[in-house]
Amino acid sequence: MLHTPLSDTGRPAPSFVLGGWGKLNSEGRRQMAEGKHGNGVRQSKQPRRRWVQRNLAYCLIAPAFLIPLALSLVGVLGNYYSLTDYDIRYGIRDYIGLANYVRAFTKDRMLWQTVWFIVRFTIIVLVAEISLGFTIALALSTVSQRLSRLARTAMMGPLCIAPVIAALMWKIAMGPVQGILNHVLVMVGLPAVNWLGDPRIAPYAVALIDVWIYTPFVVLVLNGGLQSLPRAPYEAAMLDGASAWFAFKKLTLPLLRPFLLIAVLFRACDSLNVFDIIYASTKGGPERVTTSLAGWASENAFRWYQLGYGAALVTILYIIVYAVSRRLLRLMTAGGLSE
Amino acid sequence: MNRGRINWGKLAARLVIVGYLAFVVLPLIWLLLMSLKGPLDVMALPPKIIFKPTLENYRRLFLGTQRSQYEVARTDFPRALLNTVIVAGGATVLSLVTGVLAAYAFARFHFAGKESLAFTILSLRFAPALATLIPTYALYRRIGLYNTHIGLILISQVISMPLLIWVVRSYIESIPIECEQAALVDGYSWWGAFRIVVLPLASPGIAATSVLAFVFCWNNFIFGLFLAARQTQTLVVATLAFISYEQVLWGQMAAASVMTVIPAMAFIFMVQRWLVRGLTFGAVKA
Repeated sequence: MLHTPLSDTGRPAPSFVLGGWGKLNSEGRRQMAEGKHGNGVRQSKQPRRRWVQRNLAYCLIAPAFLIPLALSLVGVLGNYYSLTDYDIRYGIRDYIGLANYVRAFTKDRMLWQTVWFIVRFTIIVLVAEISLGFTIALALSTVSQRLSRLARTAMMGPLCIAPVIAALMWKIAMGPVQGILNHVLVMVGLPAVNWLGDPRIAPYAVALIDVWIYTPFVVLVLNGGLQSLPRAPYEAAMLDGASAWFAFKKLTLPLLRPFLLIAVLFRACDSLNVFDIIYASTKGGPERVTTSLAGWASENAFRWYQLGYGAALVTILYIIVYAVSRRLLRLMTAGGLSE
Repeated sequence: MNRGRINWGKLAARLVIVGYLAFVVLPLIWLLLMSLKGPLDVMALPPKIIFKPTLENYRRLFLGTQRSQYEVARTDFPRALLNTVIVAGGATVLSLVTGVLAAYAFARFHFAGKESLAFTILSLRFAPALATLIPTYALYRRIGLYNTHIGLILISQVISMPLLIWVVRSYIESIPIECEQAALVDGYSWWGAFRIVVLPLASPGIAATSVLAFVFCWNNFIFGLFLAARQTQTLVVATLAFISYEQVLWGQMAAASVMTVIPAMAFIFMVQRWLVRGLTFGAVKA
């Protein structure tokens, strides 16, 4: 990116700072300064116009920012609610400080259970989706154009189906008696599995649904990465007689690192926040083993009307997600992908 | 050179892909077939591959179920469809009108706090939806936006706005700045340069991103679940409602799912080329 030096006040120095000014030839810049063309400076005689022009960038983002800003403020409001005993039925009765958090950390056994679940769930789906996605992406880069295009088109399916609908579909397929999945298992001589009803299996079944929905995302990202790899290092390695494995380890993996990190970042945050697919498939059961922290918070807030406590739980989730995404973003910028 | 020898690596790659494609596509085909089956065939095991296809499920979905000669069980589905079109469309248009200019400012201007502002917007993408949803619920209840289209459109900005700003920004950044400089030297204002240079060049990207934002809003579940009641119920929530306590209307549920998926799929196919950049918020420019 080009850089226009900022003035000491932190405000943009020239009155009309388009990123490209730095690159304009000196003739153009002189003309600009003298106000010889455009309404760049000529109109700046009117003070209001001038103010708008000086703060043009802020004026441009203001409308778009109004809404996210409002939403951020709403988030802050949520943090405030987490310090009260907000109840949907009675409203706020008292400011109770950190009592909600104390309750969450000391009395709420479900907090630890749900945190443990989302951590485990995230690790399972990350390992499964990244390894499967990487395998598919590598395979895609070796097969013919036609098959590759067909595969990428087919993968749009899980990407554009609503996650809830996908989970619903799998729930029907995973039905213990009528489900088609068990029918297939029995047909090939394996025992039927109570996919979503057995507490030992349900977390993996939900993870399987997640893998079906989101692996195409990983494939597309890594495939994009593989296609953008430079040719030259590979030719050099081949000339030096390097093995395919060596080229993969020493060239492909490091070059793909930013793409892998992007995929991990998106998938990690989404699966820590998981709510939709669990609501549609197990509703947190059986025996609450698949209740996510988001699900537990929404249950407290909306089913038991304890909005304040739900807000506290969401704040805890937010902190977890923030810490993880911060760490991943740092890794990414350290790896040289600053965009 | 090594003609005649089987290339095992290629064969394995092909097998892996074909296997994975089966895993991806078969459930979708199964769902589609289910929506075309009558009540007797729908849950039959082994699943009937050959059956008499019927559009009865779709008819019931849109026109209601004929209980007796004069009584028709109402269906909420058409209204849910309309609600979702309004909410997803409204949210996309609102983000589009305001977001493109912001994306332009982020791409081409330097101002104090630029990156932190941009990252604040991006963080909406990664934050839990409930973090905005819970206080919004309390707020909407108080100011009367609960169960209104406007309320749903506003909260949907959490989804559409970060996407639009970040992806369109990356498109604008990939337009050579010299084009705009030429326009400026020719005497156009920034607005003129934006209108005649940036907009036409970025419009495919903008269109693709809008489509993606629309689909994301279309598919969103949690806002519709907690911020809408019957009158503004969205499609995805309505589809889930086919599982009730008394019975599960498998066929109609499958039909509703297909009806939910088809528009999203049609749209996504249109913008396939721009999909990767959109999904990764401009981070991967494939």
